[in-house]
Amino acid sequence: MKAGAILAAVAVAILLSIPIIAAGNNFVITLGFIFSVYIILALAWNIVGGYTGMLNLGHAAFFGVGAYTLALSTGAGIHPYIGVMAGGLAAVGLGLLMSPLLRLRGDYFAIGTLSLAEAIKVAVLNIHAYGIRVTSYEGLGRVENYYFVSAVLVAVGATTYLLQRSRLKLALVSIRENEVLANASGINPLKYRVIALLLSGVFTGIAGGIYGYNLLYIPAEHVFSIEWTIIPLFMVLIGGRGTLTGPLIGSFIYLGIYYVLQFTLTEISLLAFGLVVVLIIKFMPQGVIETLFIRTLRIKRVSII
Amino acid sequence: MIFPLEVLFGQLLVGAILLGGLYSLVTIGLALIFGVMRILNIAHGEFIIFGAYTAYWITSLMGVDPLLAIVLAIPVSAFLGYIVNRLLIRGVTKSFDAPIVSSFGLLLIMQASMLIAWTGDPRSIVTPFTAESIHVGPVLLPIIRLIAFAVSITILTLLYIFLSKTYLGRAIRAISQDSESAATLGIPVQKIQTFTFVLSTVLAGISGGLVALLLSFQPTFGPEFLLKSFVVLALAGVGNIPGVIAGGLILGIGESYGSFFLGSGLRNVVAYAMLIILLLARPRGLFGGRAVREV
Amino acid sequence: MSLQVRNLTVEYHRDIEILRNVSLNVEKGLVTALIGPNGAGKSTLMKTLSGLLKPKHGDIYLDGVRLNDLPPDERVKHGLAVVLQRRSVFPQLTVRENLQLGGWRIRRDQRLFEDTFSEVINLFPDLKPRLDDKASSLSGGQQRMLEIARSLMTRPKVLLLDEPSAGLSPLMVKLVYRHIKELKDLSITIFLVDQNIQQCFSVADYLYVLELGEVKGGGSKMELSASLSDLIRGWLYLEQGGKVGGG
Repeated sequence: MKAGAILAAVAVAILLSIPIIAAGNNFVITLGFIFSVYIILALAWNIVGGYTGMLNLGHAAFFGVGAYTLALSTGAGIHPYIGVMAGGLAAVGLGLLMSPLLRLRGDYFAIGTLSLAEAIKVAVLNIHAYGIRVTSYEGLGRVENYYFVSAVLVAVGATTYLLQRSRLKLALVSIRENEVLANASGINPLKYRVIALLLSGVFTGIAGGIYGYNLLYIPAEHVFSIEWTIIPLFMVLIGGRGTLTGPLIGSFIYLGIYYVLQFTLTEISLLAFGLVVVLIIKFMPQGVIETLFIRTLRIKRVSII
Repeated sequence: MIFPLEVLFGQLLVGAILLGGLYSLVTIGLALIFGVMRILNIAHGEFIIFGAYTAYWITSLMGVDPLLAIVLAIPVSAFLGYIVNRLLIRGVTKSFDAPIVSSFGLLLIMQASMLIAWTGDPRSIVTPFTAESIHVGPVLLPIIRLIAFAVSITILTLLYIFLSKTYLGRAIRAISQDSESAATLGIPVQKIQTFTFVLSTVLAGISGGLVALLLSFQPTFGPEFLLKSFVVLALAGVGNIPGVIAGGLILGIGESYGSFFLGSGLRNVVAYAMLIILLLARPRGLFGGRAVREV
Repeated sequence: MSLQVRNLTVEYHRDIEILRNVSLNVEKGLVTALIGPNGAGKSTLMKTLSGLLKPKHGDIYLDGVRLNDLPPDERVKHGLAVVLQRRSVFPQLTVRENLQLGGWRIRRDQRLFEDTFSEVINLFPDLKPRLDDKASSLSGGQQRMLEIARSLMTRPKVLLLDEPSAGLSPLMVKLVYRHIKELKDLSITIFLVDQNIQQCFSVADYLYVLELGEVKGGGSKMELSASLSDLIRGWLYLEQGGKVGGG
């Protein structure tokens, strides 16, 4: 427990000091910004995909809706950071729209969310084929955005941490393990799944909003792209689902692999990445952490978190 | 706006039905794998596109007749299906979504490989009769679409007979209803699953060849066919060939009328909307009944 | 000696043992029954014998062939058939198709296949008028008969019956056991697990007692009936002691 608190404090300190250390190096700050966005998405996806076990393949819709709401708000003269929060709110609305799908069995939920996200993407593309511009705001630039996204990252991390020790987690996990039994013991599966989906949505929507503001131009094709679903999903699966450390470590492993492949094998990076994914699922189905550290090295599972 | 009736119920409807027949064939591979192996093969669309390319290269490099090329492409699809099943599907943990993610990885591998090998240029197979049509009263029937429809329905009918009348076909259905129980009777479940997987990739490949006759295609078009298959599957329920045919026709009709009235940009939105509404209203498919038991 | 189980240990989730050093013999041509309270591990033993669960250690032999590493369908080849406790007919196939699928192993031998089919159907005449109906349209008792008949189509050396009376009305239970007795009269080797002790006793030649995953003893019908009331009193105590788990 204590070790965990120290680790968390060190992580937050590093996160906040990056702009100071980078001293105006835009590349480093942007990289830090994008990494943070990915990690937020992974942690947010994990709330549904990890704890409830429902494979949400429409996560990108939350992100795109967040970015789009931000763009529309700034167009209407609203302060961008309020627009970003509005993005989170819009994602909650989308979550409510999506929530009837939570009644479905796992694989049908996956199909349904994937289709919903694609439908929204096609519909938006039909209106704004090339995307829309974002009105920028004096004094809110790269560094400010970085701090904003750091705050969101800390918030989603803290939420996951609190979730770990909450009764909500117990309810979600018991539904995941045996829905009938959970139902019989008075847990309403739909209610808890909806709560999880909305929590997952709000953070992703906010992340989409701040990502959009940082970009200052929102290509619909890009912000609604399925990669905003696939990448968080892989990060969580690589690390291990339904924990706080799993998605975090998974994110670093993923980003490491991805950038190495990107720079070394530019041409075939996607191909190589697909191979890595397939191999991980084949040989380490519990996630890299469980397989490498806990089973192979026989480290005792420490319950830091 | 007023549309003449002969457009609404003539040309448009006939075109929709002809397309719908092909959609049924596009779907059947996904349905078979899902029914027999309980695997949602996200890379299904890539097998279709791969089939399209194989037929395309056989025709253009060897100068073979396009329809013969589709037949010659069968062993190639079968080989690919066998390899993929051997390396990626067998032995993957049977946890509930590992196969989904694994096939996601396969999607990336296949899409990227095809992009590298054959670039992103749109291609299509041109036949001597590509522009030909038959006139039936006021309705124009493009020959190529008629052929695609006829081939699709014939294959689906043969498959139906195979599954319901032959011993192996019944074993396949038995496995899709209760694989554990099939194993306790000495039915070699894993071997039959391998066979089904290969059969499914072959069917996907053939449908891809037909797609190549009708439309232009690119390596990145796979997911679109995957989603169309989902819609048909949601309409049909799993393991139900007449349902798959009906589902394909409904999708064809829905899409054609949807894009006619709402604009072609929203063609796919109609399909997705149909799917979501269906999933919510009939989670087991419109024609699904109770064919698949909840486990 | 037909089926031999030696020191079989089965674990559940790493450390909880459900079966500990279980050893027993099923003699050729006899009905051997396993009785025990809820949660003793009876079904676990059946699943392990049929290959649906892997043992941690121990051996299973059928006529001298070690079955441990064989998957369920290979075990059927060696002559081991099982009727699962749950409903396991193929609901969308007809009764005839269900029976035919039991004959997978002998499907190429037309003659043997036909002969087996008519032998089996003569043993279960109730199924005859329903041959072309879907299995899902049968009553619970008839489905149970179909499951047993279908297993006989594999021409087993040993037939494992896991709780054949589970979920059936008393009348149907009687009917099922009448069929089991018929099979016994044909000298079919049967290994049977059931909650219904009365019926077990009525049909078994030899019985084993399983408690908390361990074989607590065994004996012929005569030997055991003397101590039966003590046994059952002990089980009630065990069941009330909060021992739960698959029966």
